[in-house]
Amino acid sequence: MIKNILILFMFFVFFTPLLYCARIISLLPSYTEIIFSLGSGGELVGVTNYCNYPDEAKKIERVGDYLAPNVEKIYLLKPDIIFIGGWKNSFIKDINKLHTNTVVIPDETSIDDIYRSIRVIGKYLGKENEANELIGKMKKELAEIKEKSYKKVYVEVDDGGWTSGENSFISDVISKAGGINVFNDIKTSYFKADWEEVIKRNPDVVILLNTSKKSFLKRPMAYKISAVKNKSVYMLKSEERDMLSRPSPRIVGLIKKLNDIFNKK
Amino acid sequence: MNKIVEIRDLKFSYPNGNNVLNGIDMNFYGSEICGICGPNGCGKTTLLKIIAGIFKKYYGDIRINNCELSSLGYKEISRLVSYVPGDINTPFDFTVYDVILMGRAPYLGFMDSYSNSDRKAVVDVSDMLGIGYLSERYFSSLSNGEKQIVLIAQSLVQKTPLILMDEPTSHLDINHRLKIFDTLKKVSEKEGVSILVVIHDIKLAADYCNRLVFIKNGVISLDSRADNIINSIEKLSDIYSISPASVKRYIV
Amino acid sequence: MNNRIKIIISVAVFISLSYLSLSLPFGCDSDILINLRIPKFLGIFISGFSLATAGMVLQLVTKNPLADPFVIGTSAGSMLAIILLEILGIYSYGFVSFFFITISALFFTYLAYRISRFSNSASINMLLSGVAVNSFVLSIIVLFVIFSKEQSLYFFHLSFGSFSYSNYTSIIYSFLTIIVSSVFLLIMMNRISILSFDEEKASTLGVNVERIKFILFIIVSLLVSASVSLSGIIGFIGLMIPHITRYFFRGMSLKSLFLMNSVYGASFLLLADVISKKFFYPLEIPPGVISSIFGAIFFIYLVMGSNGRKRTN
Repeated sequence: MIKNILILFMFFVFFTPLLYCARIISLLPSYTEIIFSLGSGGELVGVTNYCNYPDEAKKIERVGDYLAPNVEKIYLLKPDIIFIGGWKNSFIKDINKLHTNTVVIPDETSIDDIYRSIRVIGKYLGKENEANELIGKMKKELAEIKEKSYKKVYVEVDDGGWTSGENSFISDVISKAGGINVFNDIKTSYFKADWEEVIKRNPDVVILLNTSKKSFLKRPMAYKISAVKNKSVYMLKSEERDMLSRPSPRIVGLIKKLNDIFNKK
Repeated sequence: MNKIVEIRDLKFSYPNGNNVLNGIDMNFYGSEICGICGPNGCGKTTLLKIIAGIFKKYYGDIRINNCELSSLGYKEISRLVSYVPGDINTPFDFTVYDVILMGRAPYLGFMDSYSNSDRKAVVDVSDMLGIGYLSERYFSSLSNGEKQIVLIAQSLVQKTPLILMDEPTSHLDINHRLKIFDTLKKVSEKEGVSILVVIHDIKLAADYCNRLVFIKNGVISLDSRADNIINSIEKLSDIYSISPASVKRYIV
Repeated sequence: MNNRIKIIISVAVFISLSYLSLSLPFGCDSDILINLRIPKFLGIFISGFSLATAGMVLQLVTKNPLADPFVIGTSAGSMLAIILLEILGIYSYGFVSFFFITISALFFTYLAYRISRFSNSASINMLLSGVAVNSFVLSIIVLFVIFSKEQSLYFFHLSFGSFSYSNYTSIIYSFLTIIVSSVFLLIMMNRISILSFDEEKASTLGVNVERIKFILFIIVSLLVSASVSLSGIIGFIGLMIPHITRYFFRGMSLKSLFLMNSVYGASFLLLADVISKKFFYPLEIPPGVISSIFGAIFFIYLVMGSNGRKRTN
């Protein structure tokens, strides 16, 4: 009798984790990073073409990108759960037809939203503890940022004056790093700013994502900008660019780096 | 009578291979209106376009005022030959005055402008043809017949010793047809101009032309003085593939 | 209302738009005026002038009221050269760059022309062959961008353009271009007129048709390159403005028409700038966006209007 109970017990010990050993598909690079951070990277069977962190992610089967996922491939991989973003595309209907558990994660426009996404993913993967631990770690690291310079920052997301306004992820990153987005009075999250206004608002720091530093400095009256005078114009490396455009746990490291940049005298 | 055009063994075929002209030998003289007739597709229009310098790839010799045609530049040709096409379609706004003034283009000065004598010539020719009242109308709004008269005016203003006309009166009523040909006769006699007219109406041609030339199968089938045409009924019936009786009814 | 009055009104509108473009948004110091606003104004003026003129010339040469340098591939040709020069890292505002950009534009324009001549069918006009060439060139551009490291190139140059970064050096060659082109066009205006009337008649009137066409293609390439090198691709100006000018100035001589056309082209882009500054500042609506919206509507109106209604002007 005790033997049977023991066998049953062993059965549950071994198989319960397997019950949660889902086949996961992630349709955004940020979700992939979160999934790996929660320790469920081994359960990923499909990721997007842009999922490049951590290195193990590069070896996982590609199922397209967030604009055009390969629904057939997704189907063939027989996923148990699919993590998808809050956009309204026609393929959502196709994916729903697969009758797989599809989790729609709303867009993140702030760091708090990242905590929410981590919690959601954690809940569906049975990794609530790991999720809370991750969130706690992130909050602690952010709290370590004591010195906030409140410098004016201009972030150019795409060449030609494209920047982010208030309700944007990038704006939140800047403020967590201790800076102030010069365009945080504009409610639009992505727009083209008039060059004259950039000069008038005179940022102390300029962060370039996709513009070369050379072409920025060549612009008329660029020499008048405080950031140019203080040699505080920075073009992010491609790795840093990825970090800034992905609401993932790595953002904390970037925020710290930006904080250092903003604090430079 | 001076020789204006001399053609020797002219052969021409289109790029797609159709042989159109197979050896034309001809002279045209000043003060002469020569009608060019023949069945459809026999090469009448092509002949005109070759002499006008529009088609350049021909075999044989053509001399205008004793100059070899192939050695002449566009401008030189335009001062020797003027061409009246069957019809013209243009989507843009040109007034009748503008259109006739274009006929003076061969004489444009260095800074590309028309002179006062150019403008006077336009007015004179308009009056001569009785179309002064059309001057400010848009060419594209005219009827087909009115357009034809304007095109004739355009070529008269060019003052060339040789005028080529392709069915210049096909859209005109009988009144205007006669008026135009009266004018052409006057111009031809007074200025010594040689006029070649492609025309289907043989009766009209016989009345106004000095000479009639018939082309069939790419060669000259018949070349006769207009007042003598009545003696060529057999030939005409062969050219047009109709009975001699029909020929008599059609010409007489 | 006769043409003289219309000319005065048009010039007055142009001057007001220029003033608005230079003074909006209100409150700027002389530094900004001299270094930002005046170069921007000059850039807009040159671009509007060039594109409208290029469109008018193309419509006359092809006798097709739908012709436009954007549609037939001239603008794309210029852009290809710019992208190539940028990838090689040798793009500058100097003569050599401008020369290559123009040659590239000319090559593809002339290619579209030769393709249309090659076909014996009357329906393959230059517009159709131009569309094919345009698609081809744009695909090549995208390929270059995908395989180059700097994908931001694509975004900046192709995203509808901007005059905000004009400076006096960048506009020198474009400015020279419009002066030289205008002089040539004015000298040739009567012959262009005849060419647009009828090509066969033109040759019998002493006009060397093929040579004039080639010269005109060179001029169009120069004008378009002048605009594209300043601000990237702005479409539909060459299509719309000649029609608007011809509509308002019925029966005017071609020389005056050409000048008014250029003024209207510049005015339109200035209007786009004023709209952007008045209603959207500090956001900037790229001028190409406004021109495309108006242009597409205009294009549809043109195509619809040509059905059934005989063109009795």
